[in-house]
Amino acid sequence: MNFYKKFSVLFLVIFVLARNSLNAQQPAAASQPVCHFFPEGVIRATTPAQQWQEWARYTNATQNALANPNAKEFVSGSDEVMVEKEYFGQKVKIIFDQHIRIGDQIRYTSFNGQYFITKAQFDTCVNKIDGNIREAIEMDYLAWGELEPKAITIAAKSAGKNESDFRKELDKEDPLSPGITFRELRHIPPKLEKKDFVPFRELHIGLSPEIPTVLGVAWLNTGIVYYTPAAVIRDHLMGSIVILAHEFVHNNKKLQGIPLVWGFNAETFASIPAMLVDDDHLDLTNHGYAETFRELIWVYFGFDFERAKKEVVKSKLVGNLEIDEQKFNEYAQKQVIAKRELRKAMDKATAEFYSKPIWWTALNDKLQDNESVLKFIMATLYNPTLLGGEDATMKWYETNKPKIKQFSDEAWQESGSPAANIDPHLKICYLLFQKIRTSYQVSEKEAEEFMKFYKTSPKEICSWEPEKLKTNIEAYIAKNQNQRRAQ
Amino acid sequence: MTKRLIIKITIIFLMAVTLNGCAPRYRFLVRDKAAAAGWTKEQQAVSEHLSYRLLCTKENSDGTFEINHACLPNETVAKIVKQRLDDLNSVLDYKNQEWAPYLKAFPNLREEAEREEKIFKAVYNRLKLVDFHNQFLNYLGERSSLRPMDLDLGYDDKKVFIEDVFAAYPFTSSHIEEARKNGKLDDIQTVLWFNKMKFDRKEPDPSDPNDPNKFIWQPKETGIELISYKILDGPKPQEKKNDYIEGTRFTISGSSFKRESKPALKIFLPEGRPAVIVSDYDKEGEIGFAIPDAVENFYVNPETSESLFNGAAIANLFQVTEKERRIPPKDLPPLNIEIAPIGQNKIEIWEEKSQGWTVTLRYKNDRRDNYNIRVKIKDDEKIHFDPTASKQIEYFKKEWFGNGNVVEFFKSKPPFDNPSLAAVSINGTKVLLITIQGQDITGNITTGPNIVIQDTPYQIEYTEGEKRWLIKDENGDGIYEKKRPIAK
Repeated sequence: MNFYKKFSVLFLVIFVLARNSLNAQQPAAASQPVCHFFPEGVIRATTPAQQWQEWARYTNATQNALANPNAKEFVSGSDEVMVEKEYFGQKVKIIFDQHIRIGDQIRYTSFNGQYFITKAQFDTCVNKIDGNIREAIEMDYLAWGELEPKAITIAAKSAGKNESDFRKELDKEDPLSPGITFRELRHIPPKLEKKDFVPFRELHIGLSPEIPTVLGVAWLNTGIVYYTPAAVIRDHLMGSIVILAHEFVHNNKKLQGIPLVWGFNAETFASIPAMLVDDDHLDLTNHGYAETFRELIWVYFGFDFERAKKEVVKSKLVGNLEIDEQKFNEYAQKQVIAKRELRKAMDKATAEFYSKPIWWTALNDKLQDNESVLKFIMATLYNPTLLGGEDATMKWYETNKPKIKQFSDEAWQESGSPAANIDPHLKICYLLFQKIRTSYQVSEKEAEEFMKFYKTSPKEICSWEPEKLKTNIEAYIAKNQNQRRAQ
Repeated sequence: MTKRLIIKITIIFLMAVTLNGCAPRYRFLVRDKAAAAGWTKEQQAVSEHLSYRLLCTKENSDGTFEINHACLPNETVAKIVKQRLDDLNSVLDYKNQEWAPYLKAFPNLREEAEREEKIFKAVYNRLKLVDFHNQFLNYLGERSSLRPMDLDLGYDDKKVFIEDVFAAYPFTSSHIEEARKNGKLDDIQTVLWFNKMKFDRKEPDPSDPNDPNKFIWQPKETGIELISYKILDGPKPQEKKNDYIEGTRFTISGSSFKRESKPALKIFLPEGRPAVIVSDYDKEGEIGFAIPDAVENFYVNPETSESLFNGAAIANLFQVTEKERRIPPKDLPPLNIEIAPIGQNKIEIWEEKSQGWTVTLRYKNDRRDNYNIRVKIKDDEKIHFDPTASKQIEYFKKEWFGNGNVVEFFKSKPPFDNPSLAAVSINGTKVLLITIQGQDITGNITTGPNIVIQDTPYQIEYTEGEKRWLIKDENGDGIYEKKRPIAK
């Protein structure tokens, strides 16, 4: 119930801990000063496989202190340590939750202990966070900084005007709506600045007892971001500040403001560029937010992530994966090629989206697909290669085009939310699902198999008592586990 | 059960709901059809992704593709904008127990959401304008029937984001405009209607919206001027039939009468066709003013503009908007601790006035006899079970059946205050008492001073407005110094 409330009402945008993810390759930087909550011996991985292996170690090493499932609530206080900083003209209060100043000392509390740290240790942590903030802003700005001119080019062409005239038109006030410009009507974002990515209210370096495994949280439109200690460790390991960069995209009101954000997948968009950077070898392979990226890479560039996973994981013995490191590293390098190409496509897709955001959210609603722009833009830029290369795929397509057209037309007629007719209970369920599904990486196939197993329908499941639901799910999970091992 | 498992359960539960098809998803539909055709999962994926190329793109002469925005009907875009407006309305509702505290915690958030609401409303109006204008021309018969309807249904931002919408979408009839230009359009009837209500509707009290017995009265003011026009061929028409009616909202403040700058209602009455009503629900100063909110056919042509009051056409112009229903709660008083030991403080429930309170209602008829007499026996609850116990009259009541349900209470005069009565009987105005000793005491309660009751009541109850009051004369001087509300 708490999850429902949080997700549906406050609209949290989160970056969940991706355990057992695959990944990376970074220059070693073991000697770089790090925060006191880092476990001993944290390194920057030098190979993708090492990134994966080390992350699995760190999550276990810090489980009790930083991601404890039995965590209890904290109560924030005025005694927490706050550092005020300014980035590119935007002031931000960096609040070190669970860090309390007592006299000349600073006391730190985690989920499994409490200890004092020295001023030097604290300053090191502040410097580390400061560096991460700068790097995350630069990463986001590099990807999003030129969005506005690109969106304007597309929108101007669509309006049949040159860019200069179109810009003048955008700045004009709507005569029907005093105080509102045509740019606002069209929802074309203003020019992006680096400071737009900075949380204008507070950046918390703190634990999240309610969702202990979360890495980052941004509250839309509020200028508040949480960046957990586990995320700081992970960003260090990866060598790219992907989690903070992800949250900073959510934090940018020009990109993800309420209510526009209700009409597209804010998580996928915030994962540009974070999950597509060369250094991150974990998220693209496993994270729920990258599901569509994987699908596009599979269909258009031919890389099968499911197959790769099966080939890399040789065995799983009581929670210990044995992997083919060489193959994992090789596949990670192949993924880098795909990511670089996908970044170019996503650059075009986001420009297209923000040139007509309302239209795209309407299309999303019609198709019931909040990432439609990514798919449409890929279809305009590339030929699929999935059926044995471009030649074979396109020949198959040309042969079957009339049939595909027929399926497409029929699906177009049938798709779309029934809006007013929809049962409000189902609508709430649907919205909730949308939000958390990607966070916890439960595939649609899993749900289908569950229903087949119980020969039930979704409507019937809705009517089950919680106890029945719990028993059935537990039985289903146990059955699946027993198929593979004897305990 | 572990937390992880609970989460899994929740997710699978929700997943199941979505698979129910409450909102069919295009990509699954295409893949299902492809699967049914015997295609592999790779072929299904390719068919889905290449179907996007077939659906909403157009191929350029150089072989490249671009998005074709006209694939989506303008109406579909309007639908999602309306959905956002509904979502925003829900979020901005002060009674929304989940969002309201959130918006309060971050003060700019409400302002920003309200601004977005205005922007989305403005966009919605423009999107609807395009479709309404097509509809309007169709209804009037001014759109070529040879032009395929599909040509005008697709979204086109060149049609939506126009600076001068009144020039692009005039909502006028060529027939009427031509007559106006030639000086043949004459106003033949003017109707002015004004209604001001102090208590129009109850809104839940935003500080406690779940308590139906807490509410706030909201006022309403409605005023419209209806002018009917006729195209005149000569100075003396054969019939009085209207050709066009225009309605303009107005307000009255003190002695000032202020019309809105554009009509809220236009009714076209073309020959041989149903009437066409163009209505604008937004008042001047609101986003959407002067842009139609409805274009409808009206199959009963109004003979006169007064007949419009029989239908919804006028009422629709004065709808209460969602924003008007959004009443911010008053700040609650500071939380304090108050300890009240019994007997320490005197609780004064009476309101005192030395000149005395009076019942201002006229509740007596000219003969001053519109009342019934009732009597109250002292401690009658106790003696009810003991018929041998002696009785005493506590008071007589005159229950007036007139305004305010007034009840006057009188003390008895001696000997009617005898404490040893065996029986008490009232018959109309006649009072018969029998003492324990067997003596009869009789008298009549006449309209003026009499032997039975004191000349003036010692207390009076009455209803004024929504409250029932009690006024009391404590010293028998005929002045009711005290007043307090009592339960109805």
